Amino acid sequence: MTTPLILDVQGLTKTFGGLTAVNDVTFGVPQGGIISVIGPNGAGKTTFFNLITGIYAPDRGTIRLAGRNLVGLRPDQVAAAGIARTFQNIRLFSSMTAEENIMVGRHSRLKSTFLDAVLHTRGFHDSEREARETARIMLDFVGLSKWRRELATNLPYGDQRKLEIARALATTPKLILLDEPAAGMNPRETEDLKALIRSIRDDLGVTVVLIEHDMRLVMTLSESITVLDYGTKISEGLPHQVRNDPAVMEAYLGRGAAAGDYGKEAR
Amino acid sequence: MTAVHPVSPRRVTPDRTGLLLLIFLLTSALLLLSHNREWLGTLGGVGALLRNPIVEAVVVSLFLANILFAYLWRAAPWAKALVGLGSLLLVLPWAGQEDTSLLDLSIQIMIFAALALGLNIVVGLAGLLDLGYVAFFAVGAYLWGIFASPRLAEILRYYGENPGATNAGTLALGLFLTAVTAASMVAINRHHQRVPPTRASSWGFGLASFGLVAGLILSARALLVLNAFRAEGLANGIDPNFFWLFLALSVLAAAIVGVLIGLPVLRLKGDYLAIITLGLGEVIRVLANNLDLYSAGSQGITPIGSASVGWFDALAARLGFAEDQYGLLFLYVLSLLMVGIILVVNVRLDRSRIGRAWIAIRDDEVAAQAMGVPLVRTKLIAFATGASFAGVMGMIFAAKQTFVSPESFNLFQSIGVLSMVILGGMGSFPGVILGAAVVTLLNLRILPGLGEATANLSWIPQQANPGQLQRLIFGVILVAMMLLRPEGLLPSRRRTLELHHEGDQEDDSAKGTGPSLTGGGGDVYSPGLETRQEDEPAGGTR
Ligand SMILES: Nc1ncnc2c1ncn2[C@@H]1O[C@H](COP(=O)(O)OP(=O)(O)O)[C@@H](O)[C@H]1O
Ligand SMILES: [Mg+2]
Repeated sequence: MTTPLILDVQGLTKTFGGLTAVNDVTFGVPQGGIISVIGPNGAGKTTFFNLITGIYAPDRGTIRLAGRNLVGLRPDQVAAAGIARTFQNIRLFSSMTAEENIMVGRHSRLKSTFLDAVLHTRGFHDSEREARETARIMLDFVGLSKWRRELATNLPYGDQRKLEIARALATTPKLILLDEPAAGMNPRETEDLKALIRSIRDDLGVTVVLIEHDMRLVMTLSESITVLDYGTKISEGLPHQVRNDPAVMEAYLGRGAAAGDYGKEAR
Repeated sequence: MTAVHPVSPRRVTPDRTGLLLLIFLLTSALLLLSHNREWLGTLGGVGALLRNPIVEAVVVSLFLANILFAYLWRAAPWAKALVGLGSLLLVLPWAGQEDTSLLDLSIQIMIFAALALGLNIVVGLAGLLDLGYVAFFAVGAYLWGIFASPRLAEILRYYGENPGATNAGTLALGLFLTAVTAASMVAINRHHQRVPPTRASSWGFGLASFGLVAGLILSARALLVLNAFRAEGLANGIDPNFFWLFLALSVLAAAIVGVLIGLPVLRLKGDYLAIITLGLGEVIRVLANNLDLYSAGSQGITPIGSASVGWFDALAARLGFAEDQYGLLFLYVLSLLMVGIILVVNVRLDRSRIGRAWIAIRDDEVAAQAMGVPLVRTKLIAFATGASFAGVMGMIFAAKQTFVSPESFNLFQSIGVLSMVILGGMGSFPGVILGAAVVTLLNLRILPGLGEATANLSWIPQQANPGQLQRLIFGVILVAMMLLRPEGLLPSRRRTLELHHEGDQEDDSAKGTGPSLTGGGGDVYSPGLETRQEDEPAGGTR
């Protein structure tokens, strides 16, 4: 491999009671890549993200971001270290406007302290201006400028997903993890999303890892695909390699009625 | 999507400058009249009516409503300022000259307003249900109560008679232990910002905090023993000029207690947090009840001194106040100042990085943490900030009452303050102040007035007399208000926006667009998505 790995996961394992949700997964993300993680429902994809972002502590394994160990850090420390994420089930701050949501994403990068805020020091005004400016840029970047002062809850569903991406990007991450970003989007919105994800990598230089069920999106967008099934990595490689991997077919088709996921659009 | 306007055009309200000034003049005149015995005497029947307790309560309430109108109505800024400042700085003190109970009532309202503002940060902004809030009020009250009363001499005398093995060496040891442990706690904490905590470093932190407590106790004890000889000179407590120092200390002490109570409990959520804070709040009250040496137990501490400010007293004298009114007038002005400061601090925090983090945590802890908001630290700041407001007001309360006893700090006080916050509108600063005013007026004037006015009416049976049923009537009023205005009397901007847009959303869903985030639910694994606390050891739950 020529490009250095920005994220290097070795032997990651997590069990819930008797269930092994993530089983000895080794996973590398090259700097500047767009990588997909796929697998049937319940395969452990979201749990994998939760482990990387520190929401769960792994039973075994190591996680390194640009060489730095992340195991044992809290989610806010992981965010500060440079990994941002979105959630499969949108988790916006519902009583805040779109702009304020993004400003929260800026939290760990702002310098102003409690006293700055109380005394309205220069530092306070600077950091407020910076946060507002970031929000403006990010809203513009994902194309939601018109919703700036709108409550997050009142945005259309597809735009809520984009707002979550904007909020994550406001943390100026090295790596962004998108958990099913196209879920619930119509084909046109999905096309927009594809362009947006490319632009995150090309224009912002942020490496992207996404979980996705929409195979058309995954196949056209990803440079590499990792397939999980029952917590285990069963395949990895270029899109066409993975598509033709018998183990992957088995994983999706072997599930009878659940096969609907594979090769079709989600929902 | 065209239905939702980013900023909705408000209905244009008419300018009410004239009406505002008219009402101000009218209610001011009524207030001044109804509290002046001489004038009342010359009025005959009208005078008797104005002296009726319930009428008096209504007059006071109407007068205070002025300030609300000045805030709410569209009017010329100078008129608003005139009414607000005129009411608080001119008419109220003037009427208070004739009837000091008015000043007392106003101070009480302001104390509760400050408490409600403090609790609003914890409950309204950060979403942490704290049922033991009044404990911080007690900290401030007892801090000043002990030092500004004969209690201090008693404590010193006790330590003079029971010095144990304490000497100057103990003080040095205590201070040394305090410094070393505090420094190592800071160092370990810094370390934890960079690398994940290990078992050893976590234990080290625990050990250091233990040593810190021991060091503080040693130092405090040694200080008391070494100063025991001063007991005679401090028979009435410390010099009143220390009042200002203690104002700062009460803020600090309450904030520290807030952190100490917060650290172990803030990992819990919702109902659990409510129950634990309720318990800890009671613990503080029980301590006050049982640490007889320091708190005089259920007897309470009295008399408690206050500050005496030369130029202020001179000013009060020039304005025609009687000598026994100086103290109360001083506390009135001080409370006014404190509420002002607390309000400004609240508004500024709300519109800052910290305030946004609080609201983010209230809305969604998991998402807030994933966006880089450290949960425990942010919650502790909320706890400590709210606590510090209570601490300073506790001190003013002790100075006003000249008496503190554990009964002033029971669970019902905490619930009372919570009801002010909810009644006024969670998260809304003007709302919780209004809530505090309404609840305090109801409890101290309107309901007692009702009871008094009806006490001798023969057609009301003794058992059904409103005087007996004050609590019941209060409860009914609360229930009715919550049914009529569940979002509070003056809901916060956020809530208004939300409610306003819920209306919009109904329109949208009728057209089949705009699914909502709140109604969604559906995150199957949410219960397992636990947030990780800052003091959790390496590897978290294994
Ligand atoms: N907090 C949890 N507690 C218990 N089981 C969990 C928890 N989180 C996930 N699981 C289980 O782990 C498995 C993988 O879930 P998940 O990672 O959400 O799958 P995916 O995202 O691939 O659909 C599922 O069987 C799920 O029930
Ligand atoms: Mg999932």
